[in-house]
Formats: sequence, structure tokens, C-alpha cells
Amino acid sequence: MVISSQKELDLISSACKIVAETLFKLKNYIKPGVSALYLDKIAERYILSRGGFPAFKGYRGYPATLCVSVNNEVVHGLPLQTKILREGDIVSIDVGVRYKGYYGDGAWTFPVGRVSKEAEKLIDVTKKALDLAVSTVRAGVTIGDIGSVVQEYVESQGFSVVRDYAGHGIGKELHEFPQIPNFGKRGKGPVLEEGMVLAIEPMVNAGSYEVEVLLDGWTVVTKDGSLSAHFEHTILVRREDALVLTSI
Amino acid sequence: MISKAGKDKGRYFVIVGVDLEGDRLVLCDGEKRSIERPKKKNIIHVQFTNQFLEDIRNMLLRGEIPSNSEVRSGLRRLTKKEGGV
Repeated sequence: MVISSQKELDLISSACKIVAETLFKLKNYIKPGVSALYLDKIAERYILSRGGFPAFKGYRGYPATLCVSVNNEVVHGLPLQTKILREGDIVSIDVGVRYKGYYGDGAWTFPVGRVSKEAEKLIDVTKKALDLAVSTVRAGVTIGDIGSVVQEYVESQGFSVVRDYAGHGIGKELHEFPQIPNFGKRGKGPVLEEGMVLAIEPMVNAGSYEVEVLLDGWTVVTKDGSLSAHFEHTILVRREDALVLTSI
Repeated sequence: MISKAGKDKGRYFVIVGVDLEGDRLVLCDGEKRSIERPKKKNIIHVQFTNQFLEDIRNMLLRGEIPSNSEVRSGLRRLTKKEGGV
């Protein structure tokens, strides 16, 4: 959406703040032995206590508050009771919040205890890819400018960007125009306008970019079994830069 | 994207163009709405997703027209992946 009033900005900022606080809170619970379902319950309780509503719950039939994707799971991992975090895992947590009709969306990949050097690098590269994307954003740049920055950096580090899923506009709906792929060519695609709200979300695989969906119909995994990381911020496009809305 | 109004409500489509005059999207599913007979739909009557068909996009950017079977197989891949959050 394109923000048209201060009130709209305040509401979407509130939704995004709840997203950021939820991820911050969950960070303390991520340790070996904890189940994904437990994280989901904590997140749901917190979001409701702040006056928000879990945006993913019921979205096209999705049954939970969080997406909890472990190791080779890319996105949309179901927070099952049987999904127990183990030392050395990496876990991507994606959370969406609706607050008074406005949406915020954010994700973070956390290490569980001590992780391998490769996993550490994957997390660092994916986070930096998001930071680079955000620093590229201002009114007048194109969607291709964002995608090319992410793709070039990630590939220079020996990893790949997922093609089948993209960032998106956000605001009055969870997914709005435009789509923001994590690859592309400079100068191509729709031009960003001041006031646009976007969810930028690099999904980076340690191996090939190809993904597939498990039989549960949701969980997206890397086809080659390699690790995957995911970071996401909801941002506001300003004249000279981007304002990150999903930060504490 | 997914249609959220009309007879085709709930159905998945690929955006293959934009009708700038009518502010509408040109949609195709390779079946009922073939590439030769696409559907024009108001942008407010569609639900965007976070799913992406890179191969179809690249063909369109190169000025090529995807075949109906290419659109169908792309959509099959996506619809297997339910909605996407």
C-alpha cells in the first residue's frame, strides 16, 4: 500500500512493532529441546496480549501463528509439537500481525546453540543481504535494483537465492502489489514511490536455489537438502531512504 | 495471484500483462483462460501472493509468449504450494 495519512502510518507501525517484539521475545526461548509448537503458543499469546491478531492463522487455511522452518526448510514450516530444536540447528521464524486492519510481517533466522561455520556464514550473508536491500530502497529505485543487489551479494558468497517466493507489498492485506523477487536486473520492474510499504525477504540456500513442498502442503524445503536462511523486514519507502518498521 | 471476486473466485492465475487503459490486469491460467483468450480483471479483485514463476516472467520480459501448458505446469507447481504466507 501507499501510506496516505499519519494515522495509517501509526497503525501499520503498531502492527510492525508487535512483529518485532514477538521475534525479540522468541529469541530468549530458542534453545535445544524446545518444540516449535511451544514457540507458536508464546507468540500467539504475546500478539493477542498486545491487541494484535496472528495474520497467518487462517490465511488460506494456514493453521498456526508462526512459520517455524528448521535447517533445510526454507519457509512455511509448520510449528509442530514433534519439531524439537536441537543443538546446531538453524531455525527461521516468520511472523505476521494484523492490528486494526493493518499488517506487519517479519522473519529472522536464529542459531540453536553452537552451529557449524557454514550455518553461521549462511545466517550472516542472508542478514546482510536484507540490510543491503533495505539500504538500496528510496523513492525512484526499481524492484529490479533491490533484487539485483540481493542476488549479486548472495551469489558472490557462494550461496543462492530462492526464486519461487518473493517479498511483497503489504498494508491493508498481507500480500499486495508489487512482488519483490530476490533476483533481477538493475533498472527493471516497477518504480518505488514515496510512502509505499514493502516486505523485503531474502531466502538464501547454501546449495541450489531449487525448492519443493512437502506432502503437508506447506513446508517448503531445499531440493538438495542444503541449509536455508530467511530474514524479513517491513519497511516504508521514503524520499531519500527506507524506514524499517519491524525493528525494536 | 488468486481471484477474489467473480465466477473464478479462488482460482489461481498468472499475470501476463497490464491493461493500462482500464487499470486491469491481464490474467491467464492456461485452461479456462488461455493465453489466446486471457481474462482482464480489476486489480482490486485479485489477491497477490508471495509466489513467483521466474520462467514465465523471463519469457514475458524477453517478449516471448508462454504456452498454455507452460502456464498450467507453473500454476500446478504453485498451487501444490497452497497459499503461501
